[in-house]
Amino acid sequence: MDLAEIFGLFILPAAIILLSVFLFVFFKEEGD
Amino acid sequence: MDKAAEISIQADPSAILSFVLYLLIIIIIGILSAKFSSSGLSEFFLAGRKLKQFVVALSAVVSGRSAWLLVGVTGMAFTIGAPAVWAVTGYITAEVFMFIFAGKRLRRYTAMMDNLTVPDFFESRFKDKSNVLRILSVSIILIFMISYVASQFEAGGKAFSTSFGVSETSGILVTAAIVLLYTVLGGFLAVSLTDMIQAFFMIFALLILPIVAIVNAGGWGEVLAILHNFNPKFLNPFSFSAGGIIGFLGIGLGSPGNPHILVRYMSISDPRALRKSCVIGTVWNVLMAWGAVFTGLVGRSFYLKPEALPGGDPENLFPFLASAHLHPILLGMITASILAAIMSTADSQLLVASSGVTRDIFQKILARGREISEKRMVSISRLVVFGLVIAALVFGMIAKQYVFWLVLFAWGGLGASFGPTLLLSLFWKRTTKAGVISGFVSGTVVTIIWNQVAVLNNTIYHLVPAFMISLSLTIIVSLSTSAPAQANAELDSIRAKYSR
Repeated sequence: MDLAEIFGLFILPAAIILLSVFLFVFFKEEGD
Repeated sequence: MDKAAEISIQADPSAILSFVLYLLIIIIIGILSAKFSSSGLSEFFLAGRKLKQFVVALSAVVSGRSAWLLVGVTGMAFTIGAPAVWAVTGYITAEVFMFIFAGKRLRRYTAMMDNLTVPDFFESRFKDKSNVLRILSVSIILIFMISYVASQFEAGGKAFSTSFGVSETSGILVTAAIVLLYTVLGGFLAVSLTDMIQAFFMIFALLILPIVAIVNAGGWGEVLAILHNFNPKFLNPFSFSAGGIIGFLGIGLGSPGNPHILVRYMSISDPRALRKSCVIGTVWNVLMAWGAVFTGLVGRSFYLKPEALPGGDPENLFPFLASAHLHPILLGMITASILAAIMSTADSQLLVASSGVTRDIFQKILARGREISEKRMVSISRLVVFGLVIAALVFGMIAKQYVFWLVLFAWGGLGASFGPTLLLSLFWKRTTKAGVISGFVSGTVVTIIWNQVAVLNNTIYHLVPAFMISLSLTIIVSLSTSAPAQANAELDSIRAKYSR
């Protein structure tokens, strides 16, 4: 598999999950 | 070989048993939720804002995913290959931000103002006494939702017909009857809890099928070799035009504007928990979406020519591949998962449309000032759900050939009308009532025109231009009209309370 294929099928989904984890950890408002 | 017979499970008792078991579970949930949901409109339409993070996460995710994910995305990946990932990336990313930012603010605002519906929100936000915002938003909801529900019933009829060999009309009626039963009885609580069960069926189906199929193909390496040999660019997500990729990503612009998803955020007991719902919902969304993409890809490795599928239709891949690779019990669950996707969308849309009629039109306009008990309002809501099911069935019969055409822009129309206006109303104090009205109208009109004009329709998915025009007009008209004087007080108080 070349890099583009690995990106689309594996890295992209992992990155979206990591984005949600990142926002969960770092984007708190008062009261959270 | 008779392909239709091949994907039918009517002859297999174990498959029917697992399917019937699923139906029993969701009907029992409807019955058990009935008492709670009967106590008032807030309970019937928002589960009393008492739902927990896990239920909200899964309900928000599967309410937005109709049969399009299971049969549409699998068929798309089968046809175009890895570029199908862009069709799912947009909405999943949009929903990450909705959970964390817009959903939380919407929940806080609507709870503070005792808003039960999206039209309620717009009226409160702009202190609109003229009912223009309410009537306009309910009209948009009803126009798009009835056609949306009708299309879900049609899809349910097809799934029943394909799986059990009954006529399509019987399948439509059975789908409508089941959704009607648990939605009328259990309201939002039943709809959300059944969404959760349906989410498990969907993720199970979308994970087990590609895994088993890959194993049966001889492993991922074998699938790769076949697909590379078939088309060297088939697995390259960038082998698509930039316009195509942007159009696919643009599907995500629908997420902030579809009221049946928005009310999920409004129903959570503690808005702080939406951060956890975000992670749960995103993991679920990603696994289901890439499961669908992998199903399409591995399916192509088995059937290089689309003619090998029943009717030569790539959208038949999902049940067809399942019939070829799974045990009958699992095949019953696959059928259940298609019905789950259909029902979890139709039930949420029915409730939102019903709330538009009962809460927004009847309680807030026609019966304003009259004393009507909460229990009576719930009874009226149930009657309205019944009426809407009949309306969707009749609409589906009258406009049978247009139903699927209409649903093509229902997601986009709602997204373009409500998405920009809702986001600006939540985050931009300068938004005005006139700006929102222009956003509602332009979002709907551009969606319809873009779909009608072939030259435009062939360039990019209509939601992208419709959203952008609606967004621009809302901003321009807002800046051209007087800033609301008192309308921002509640927004200010939320901002002051929660922003650092």
